[in-house]
Amino acid sequence: MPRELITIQTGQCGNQIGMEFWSQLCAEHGISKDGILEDFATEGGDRKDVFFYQADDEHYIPRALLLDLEPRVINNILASPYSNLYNPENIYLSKDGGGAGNIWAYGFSQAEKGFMLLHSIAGGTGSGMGSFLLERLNERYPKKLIQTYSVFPNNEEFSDVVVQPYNSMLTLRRLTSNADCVIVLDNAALNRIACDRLHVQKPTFTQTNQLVSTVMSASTTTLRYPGYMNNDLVGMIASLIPTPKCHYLMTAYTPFTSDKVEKAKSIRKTTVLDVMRRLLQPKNKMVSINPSKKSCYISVLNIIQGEADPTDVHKSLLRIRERRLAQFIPWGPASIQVALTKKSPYVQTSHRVSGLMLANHTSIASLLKRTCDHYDRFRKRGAFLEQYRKEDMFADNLDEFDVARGCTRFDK
Amino acid sequence: MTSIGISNINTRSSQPLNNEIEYERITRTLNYLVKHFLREVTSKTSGKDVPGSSETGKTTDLTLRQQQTFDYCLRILGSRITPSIVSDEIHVSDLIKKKLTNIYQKILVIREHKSSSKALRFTNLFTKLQSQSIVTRKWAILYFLLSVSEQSSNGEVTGNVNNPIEQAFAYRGLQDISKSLESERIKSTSEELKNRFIPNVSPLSKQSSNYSKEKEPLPPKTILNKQLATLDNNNEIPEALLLRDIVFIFQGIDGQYIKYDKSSSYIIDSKAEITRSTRSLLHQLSELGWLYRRVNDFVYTNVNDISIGLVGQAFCSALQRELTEYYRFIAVLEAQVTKVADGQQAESQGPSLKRLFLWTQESLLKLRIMSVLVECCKQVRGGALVSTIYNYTNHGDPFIQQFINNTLEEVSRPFFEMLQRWIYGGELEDPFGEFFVACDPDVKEEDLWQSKYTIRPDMQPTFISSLLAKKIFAIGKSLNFIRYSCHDSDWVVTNVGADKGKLLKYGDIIALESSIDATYTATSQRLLNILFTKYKLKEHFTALKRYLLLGQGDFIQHLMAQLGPGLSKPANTLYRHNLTGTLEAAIRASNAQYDDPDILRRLDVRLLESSFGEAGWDVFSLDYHVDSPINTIFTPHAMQQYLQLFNFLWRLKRVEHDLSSTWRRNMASARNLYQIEELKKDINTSRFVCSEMIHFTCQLQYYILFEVIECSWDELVKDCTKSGDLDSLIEAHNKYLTNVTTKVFLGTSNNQDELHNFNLKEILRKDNTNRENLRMIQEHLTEVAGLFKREVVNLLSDLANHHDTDLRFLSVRLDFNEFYLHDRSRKQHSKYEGFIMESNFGGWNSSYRDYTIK
Repeated sequence: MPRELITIQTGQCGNQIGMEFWSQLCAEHGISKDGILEDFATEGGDRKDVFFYQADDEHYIPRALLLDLEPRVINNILASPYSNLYNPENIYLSKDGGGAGNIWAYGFSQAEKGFMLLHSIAGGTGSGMGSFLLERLNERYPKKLIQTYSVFPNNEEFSDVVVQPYNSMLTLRRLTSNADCVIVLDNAALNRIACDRLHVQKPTFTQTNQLVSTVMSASTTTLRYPGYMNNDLVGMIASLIPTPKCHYLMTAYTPFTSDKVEKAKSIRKTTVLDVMRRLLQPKNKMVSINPSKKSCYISVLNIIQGEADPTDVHKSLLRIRERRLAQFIPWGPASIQVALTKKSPYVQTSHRVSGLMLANHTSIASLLKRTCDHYDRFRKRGAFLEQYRKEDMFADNLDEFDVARGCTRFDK
Repeated sequence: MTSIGISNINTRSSQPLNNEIEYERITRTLNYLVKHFLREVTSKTSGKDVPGSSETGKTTDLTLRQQQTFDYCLRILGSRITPSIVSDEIHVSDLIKKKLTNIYQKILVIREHKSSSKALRFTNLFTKLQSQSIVTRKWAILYFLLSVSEQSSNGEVTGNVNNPIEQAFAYRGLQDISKSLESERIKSTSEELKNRFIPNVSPLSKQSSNYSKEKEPLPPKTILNKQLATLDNNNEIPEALLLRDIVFIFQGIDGQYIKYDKSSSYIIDSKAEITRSTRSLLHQLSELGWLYRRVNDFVYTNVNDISIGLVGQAFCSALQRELTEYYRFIAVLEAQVTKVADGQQAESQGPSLKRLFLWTQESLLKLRIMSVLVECCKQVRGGALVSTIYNYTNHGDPFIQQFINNTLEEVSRPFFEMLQRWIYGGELEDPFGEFFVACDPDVKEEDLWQSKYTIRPDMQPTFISSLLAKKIFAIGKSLNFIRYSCHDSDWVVTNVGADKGKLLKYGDIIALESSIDATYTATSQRLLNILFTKYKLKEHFTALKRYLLLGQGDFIQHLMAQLGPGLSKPANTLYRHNLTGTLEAAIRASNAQYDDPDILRRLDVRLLESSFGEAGWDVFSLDYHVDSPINTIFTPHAMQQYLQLFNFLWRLKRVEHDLSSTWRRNMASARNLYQIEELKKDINTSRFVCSEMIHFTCQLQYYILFEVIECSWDELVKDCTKSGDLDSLIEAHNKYLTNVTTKVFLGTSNNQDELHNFNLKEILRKDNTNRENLRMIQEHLTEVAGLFKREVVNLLSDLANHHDTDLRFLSVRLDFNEFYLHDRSRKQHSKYEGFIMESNFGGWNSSYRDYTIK
C-alpha cells in the first residue's frame, strides 16, 4: 500500500509553513535546494517517496500544491533558494481558485494515501479555499485520508483580519465533517513557546513556522523511516482517534533548540524520561488550552527520535503512571503509545533525544468552545456580515453545536 | 618346643635391672626357672616325642647344667649385644611359624599333622603373648626363641654343640658354655656383670664362685637337633656359580639352580645347598629377572602388532630403549662375573651377590616402574595411554618422575604429531583412533560444524584440560570449516606453512597452551572474518530481522495489501508463482529494493501444508533460503523458529491491518451514517470496541518490537562483536531466537483475540451494508465485545502474575489507565464471593447435620 501524501498548502499561512516544512524535509533527506540528492546522502532506510516524487533519476520534487489567491508569499517562495524545488505546474495563483478542484484529475492522484492540508482557519484564503478543498476532496476521494495542520488564530489578541471568527467558524465546520484528522496549532501557543522556550522577545512568523514544520516533520518520521510499527498513516491515526468526531489532536514538542530556531538555548542533557515528562507539561503544548480538572487524555502517541533505549521508555512509562502525570479517560483503555524512530543522519542536533506528542485530549474542546464563543458574540451583534451575505452562507449555527457537542461530550 | 618356659624367663628378665634388689630378684627367679626348665625339657622329651634318644641325657648332671645355664643366662641378660635386625614381632612370629611348618614338613613328613598342630599351638601362644600388656619386649622374646631354634638346626649340621641354648649363644657370638666355663672367668664376668648392674655396690664374688663350683654336664641333644640330623652334609654351592646363575636370571634365562616356574615366579632349587640368607638374597635378586621378563614379554608381543596404535608403538619403543640400556648394564655385570669365575679378579673385589644386589638397585627401580606401566597400559591405547602414563608424573620420587617424564615425551610424540597436523592443517591423521578428535566421514558437508567431528573424552590426555581440548577441537574444526565450507583453503595452506616451524611436544604445557591459544584466536578470527565479510553474516541477521520479523514495515505493508485479497481465498487456490510475483512487486515498491541482491534472492514465499477449509492466510509464509556455510548458524531448527515467529507477527500485523481498514471504513461511513439516529448508539459501541482492539494490538506490537525484538537484537549485536569463535556466535544467535520466541508467544489467548477481531470486522462490514439484520448484529456485537473483554482481562491477570518482569510490564501497558482493573477486581471479587457462599453453605450443612444428629 503506497503511503504517499500530497501536501496542499493554502493561503499565506499555509504556504509559509509549507516553505519551512519542505526545507526541513530536504535537510532530513539530504536533498539539495534544487531537489538533487546530495552526495553525502547515501545512507538508505528513508523513504523519500512519501513526500517527494522523482521527476528523473536525480531530481526529487515535493508532492506539494501551492495555492493562494494573492501572490505575495508564493512569490517569496519562488524568489527563495528553494524556487527550483517545486514543480511550477503545481503552483496555483488564481483569483478564484476554481481550478484547484480539478487538479487531481491528472497525474498522481490515484495511488496516494492521503492529503495533508496546511492552512490557517482564520485567514481568508486558508480558511475559504481550505474549506472548499476539504469538501471537494472528500467528495471525490472518499477513501483517502485527509489530515490537516490547522493554525488557529490568537484569540487573546485582535488580529488584522476582523472577520476572523466567521472564517474560523466556517472552516471548523468543514474540518469537523470532512477531515479525518486535524492537528490543531494555535498562534497564541506558538508565540508563547517561541518566547518562553527560545527566549525570543518578539517571534517572527518564520520562527513560529519553524516550530510548526518541526512538528510536521517529526510526526511523519515513522512514515519516512519505515520500521516495524506506525509506518502507515492510517494505522497511526487509528490508534489516536477512537471515534470519528474526536479527531482534533494537539501536539507538544521538546526540546526546541537552536538547531530548529535561532538563538535558542540548547538543551544538551535530555533523557527519554525528561522528554516524556516535558511533553505532558502544558507549557510545551502548541495549543492554548485551559485544562479543567475533568479533562483527560483519550489517547497519546509519543514519537521519540534519536538514541532512545527501550528500557528507558519502559521506566519512563512506569514513572508517569506512578505519579499520575497524565489523566486518562475512564471509559476505555488508553495509554501512552511510544514510537521510537531514527533521527535523520544528515541533520546534526545537540540533543540526543527529542520527542513529539500527538494527543487526543478532551480539553481541546475549550479551544473550539472559545472559537464558538467569539463567533457567537460577533453573530449576535451581526457585525461584519455584509460580505458573507453575498456569498450565500447559511446554517452556521449547526456547525457550532456539532463541533461543541462532538468534542465536549467526554468532558462529563 | 618348650615355649612356655622360655617365655617365662624372658618375661621376668625384661624387668628393669637397675639396683641390687632387682639383681637379687633376677638371679633368684632365673635360678628357679633354669632348674624348672631343664627338668621340664628332659622329662617332656623323654616322655613324648623321641623316647629313644632322650636316654643319652644323665639326670645327675642336671644341677650342674642348671648352674651353667644360669650363669650363661645371666651373662646374656647383662650383655649389650643387640641384633642388628629391625625389631618387628609380627615378622619374627611369622618366621617362627614358617619354620615350624616348613622344616617339620620337610623333615618329619610322617608327623605332619603334629607339626602343623605345633604351628597352631605357637600361634595361640603368640596371640596370648601379644595380649599381655605387662610384657614389653615381646619381640626380644620371640627373637630369642627363633635364634635358639635356628641354632639348634645349625648345630645339628655342624654336630659340635649339643645344647640348643648353648648353641644359640654361640651363634650370636658368645662363647660356648662348656669351653668358657672356667671359674675365674666366670668370676670376672660375674663381677663385671655385677658392676654393670650395680656400679656402686661391691661385687658379689661369693655367689659367682658358687656358680663356678656347680659345673654340670650339658644336657642331651634336643629333639630338634636329631630331627635335623637327617639332612645332608654340608655341600654349599659356591657363590660364583650362583652369580652366574643370577646373571642369567637377569636376562630372563633359567639358571642352574634358579628356574622360572610356570606359576610366574622364580624358584630356587630346594635341593641345592644354599644358605638361608643367600637364598633370600637370591630371591630378592631374581625379582629383577622377573620384572624383565614381564616387560620384555609385553614389548615382544606388541612391537609388531599394528592394532596397538602409534602411541602404543611409541610406548614399546620407549620400553625397548630402556631395555637396551638394561642389556648394557647386564653385559657389564656379566663381564665382571666371568672375570671372577675365571679367576682374573680376587673374589673380595669382584661381584658378590650382595654387591650385585646393591648394583642392581637402580635397574630394579626402573624395571619396576616399567612393569607397572606395562601392567596398566595393557588395556588402553592412544590418548588414554598417554593419560595413564601421565598420571604417574605426580610421583614423589624425583628419579621416578624424571623417568616417567622421559618416557612420556617419547610416548606422546605421535600424539603431538597428530595434534600438530590437526591444529595447523585441520587434518585428522589418526588411523588407529587414538586422537581425542574423531571424524565421521558420512556426515555431509552442511553438517560439518555440527556433527562431523566429535571429541572422544577417553582419548583426551589428562594434561590437556578440557578447556584446552575444546579449543584444540575448535581450531581443527574451524580449519576444516574454512577449507570445505567456506572454500578458502589458501589461507589454511599459508597458515600451515607459517606455523610449521614450531614443534609441539610434551613437557612444556604452558608453551603448548599459549601456542594453542594463539592459533585458536587466529583461526577463530579468521573464520568469523570470512563469515562476516565473504558470507555477510551480519547482513543475514539483519535481513532475517527485517523480513521474517517484519522489521521492514513498508515492505510488509505492501505485501499484505497486495496479497490480502488473494489470501482470503481458500488455500488450495493459491499458486506459488503468483505469490512470488507479488513478492517481487513488494520488494520493488519498498525500501527493500535497496537491499543486497544476494539477500533479496534468498527471500521467497512458502506455502505450508494446507488442509481442507484453510484460507490462504493460514498457509502463507515468507521464507529465507540459507545455504552452506551460513546454514551452520541458521540451522533448520533456527529457521523453523524464524518461520514460527513470522507467522505470529504476520497474523498480528494482519489484525492491525484489518483493524485500521475497519477504522478507515468507520471514518468514511461516519459522514453517511451520521444522520441515522437509531444507529448512532450501536455504531458508537462498535467504534469503541474497535478502538479497544486497536489499542490492544498497538500495545502488543510495541511490546514485541521494542521490548522483545529490539532488546534481544541489541544483545545479539553485542555478543557478535564480543564472540571469539563460531560456537559462541551460534550460541548467541540461538539465545536471541529463544528470547524472542519465549517472549513473543505469551500464550494461546492472543490468537483467540485475533479471531474475535475478525469477527468484529465482519460485523462492522455488515453494519454498514445490511441494516435489516440490525438486531442480530447488535447481539453479535455485544457478544463479541464481551468475549474480547473477557479474553483481555484473562490475559491481563495471567500476565500480571507472570514471573517475567517484561511480561508483567506488558500487562501494565495494556491497561495503562486501569480501565480493565475494575473488571479484573470484579472477577476476583466474584471468585471471593463464590468462596464465601460455598463456606457458608458448608457451615449450614454442618449445622444441619448437627441438627439431624440431635
